[in-house]
Amino acid sequence: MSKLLSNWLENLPKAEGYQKKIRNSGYNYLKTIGLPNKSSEDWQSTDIRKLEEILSLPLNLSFESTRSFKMPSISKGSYRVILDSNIDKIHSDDLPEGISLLTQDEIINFLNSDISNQTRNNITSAINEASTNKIFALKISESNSTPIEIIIKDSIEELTTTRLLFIIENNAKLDLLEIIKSSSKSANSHLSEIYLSSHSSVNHGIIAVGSEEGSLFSRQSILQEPESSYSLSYLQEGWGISRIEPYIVQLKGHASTNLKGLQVANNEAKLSTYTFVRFNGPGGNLEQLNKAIAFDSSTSIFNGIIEVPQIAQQTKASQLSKNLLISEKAEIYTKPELRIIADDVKCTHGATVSQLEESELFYLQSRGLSLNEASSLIMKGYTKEIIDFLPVNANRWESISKYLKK
Amino acid sequence: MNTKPPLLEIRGLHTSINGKKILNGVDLKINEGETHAIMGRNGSGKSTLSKVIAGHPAYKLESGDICLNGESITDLEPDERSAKGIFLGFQYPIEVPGVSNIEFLRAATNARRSFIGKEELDTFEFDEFVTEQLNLIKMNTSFLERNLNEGFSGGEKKRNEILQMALLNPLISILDETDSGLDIDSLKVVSEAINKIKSRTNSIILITHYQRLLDEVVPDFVHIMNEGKIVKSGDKQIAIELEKSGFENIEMIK
Repeated sequence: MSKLLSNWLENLPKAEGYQKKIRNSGYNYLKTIGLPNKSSEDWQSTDIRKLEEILSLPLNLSFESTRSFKMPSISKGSYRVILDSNIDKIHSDDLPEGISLLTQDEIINFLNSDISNQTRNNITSAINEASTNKIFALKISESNSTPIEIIIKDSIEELTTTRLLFIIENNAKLDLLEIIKSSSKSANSHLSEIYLSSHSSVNHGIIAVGSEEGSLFSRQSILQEPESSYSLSYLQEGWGISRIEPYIVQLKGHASTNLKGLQVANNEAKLSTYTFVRFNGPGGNLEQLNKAIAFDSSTSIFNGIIEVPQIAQQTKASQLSKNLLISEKAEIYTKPELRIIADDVKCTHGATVSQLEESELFYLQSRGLSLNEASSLIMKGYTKEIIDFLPVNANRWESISKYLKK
Repeated sequence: MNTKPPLLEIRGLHTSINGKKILNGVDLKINEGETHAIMGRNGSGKSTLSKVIAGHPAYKLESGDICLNGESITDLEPDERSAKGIFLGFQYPIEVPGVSNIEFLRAATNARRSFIGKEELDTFEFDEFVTEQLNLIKMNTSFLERNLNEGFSGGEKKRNEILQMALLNPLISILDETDSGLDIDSLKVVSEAINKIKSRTNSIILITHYQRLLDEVVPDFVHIMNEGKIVKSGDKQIAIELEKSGFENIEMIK
């Protein structure tokens, strides 16, 4: 184990009782496995030094943001939570009907269950689990009709770690929008775990927009029971380095998953999306579209693993990665990875990397739009296929509305 | 003596693409208020001529000139040519995914209005303006909310081109096979719209293979293109003869 990591683990705030139980798995993973290196497949394209830099930052123990940023008004009828120290003051009575806090016992029982353990054992969640003392954990029941908006901020020259756990009960529905924003030299580690019971559905959106000096390591661990439906739309933009890692397990198949991602890489940003979908039973369905636009000297990475073991007969999965390379200095890496053992399945995948279409540019220019106007209109159209799906009136957020402006 | 230059004048136009010569000396003069038809076999250079006039960047100008109101436009970008009043109705209108038709139409209309010194239209003003023009092509407003040409039928695409022509109020419209892919009813709607847009101050070039469009939009002049140049010019009678005898007997057409 590297000295940096052993120091980091040693200096973590002490965990007592409940905290110990929720932090143990991450702590043990890091102690046993250590940090990734260049031979770790998922980290080959990531600058490991950045990860080390992040671990050199002090932890934001107060759970406070040193930055405030302009937030749009709350979407009508929705419930907003800012993940800072004030979450301790939230009581179930304050929450809308159909939403309640999970008790410590419920959290521990879930996190120690075999089901939950299926999404563990990876570096991004381990760093988060080992260092986060608080989990904002909710139970969503059938009577819920309130969309939830979660705000995650950064803190200058600190590592802010935040963690969510949502248990979605049978037949319940939830629209969930997470805003992760950094505006300084800072780092965020964020973990969202969502368990979808049978016949439940979640429409999940993430807007992750960071400063050029910001770093984000985030993971979405999603567990789906049969007949559940999970949709995730996400936008990554800005950042120095950012990783979004949706990790989805259809526990017994027969569920539906829809992933739509967009990364807009500017300057020298290194943005990456690592998705993993595993079908642990038959009859599952996946539709996945990942788009990227790479400007300047940026790097955009997409890696999409789909696992269809023998048991997952009659799985239908489609994955498409579409990329626009705008600058000669930018780089795009895209890697669909289908691991199919079952024989009675329909799985398709495709990846394209292209520049703006000359025919589209000429058409718009021939109608009086300058090359710049035409390019930006085409790119705006290109992004729409993803951002139109963001839930909870996401266009209130400037990062989104700029794509939709007429 | 009237010294007013032709609205559009093409002189000795030679162009190539990827080293291959396509236009081999096209000469054409079009005055205000005139309607010209250009006919010719596939590959004779008709569509290339239309794209070259509109400024397609893939074509290299080897020699010759294109003047609008006496001023050369060959150094201008496609958007600058459009602003000055050149409109190209595409043979195959391009689908632009995710871009809403109305958003595009407003941007295009305002680009042209701003060039001719008219005030740009805000969303509400434009809604009103475009709704009026929609009657021309007999389409309802749902047409505007869809993405630009995406999933449009052939006829809808061509109607959308004519709608753009109406909105942009160009000086010269080059309609490249606007009649192809249209059923009889759509041809009638499109032809009527073109006739309504036609005026004494604008001009139209119709590129077509068929007489039927020219029955509806009657040209003042008809030109036949072959191997990258205009080989014959005359009145509408040429088109009628052509329909009877075909391009094989082009030399026999007087």
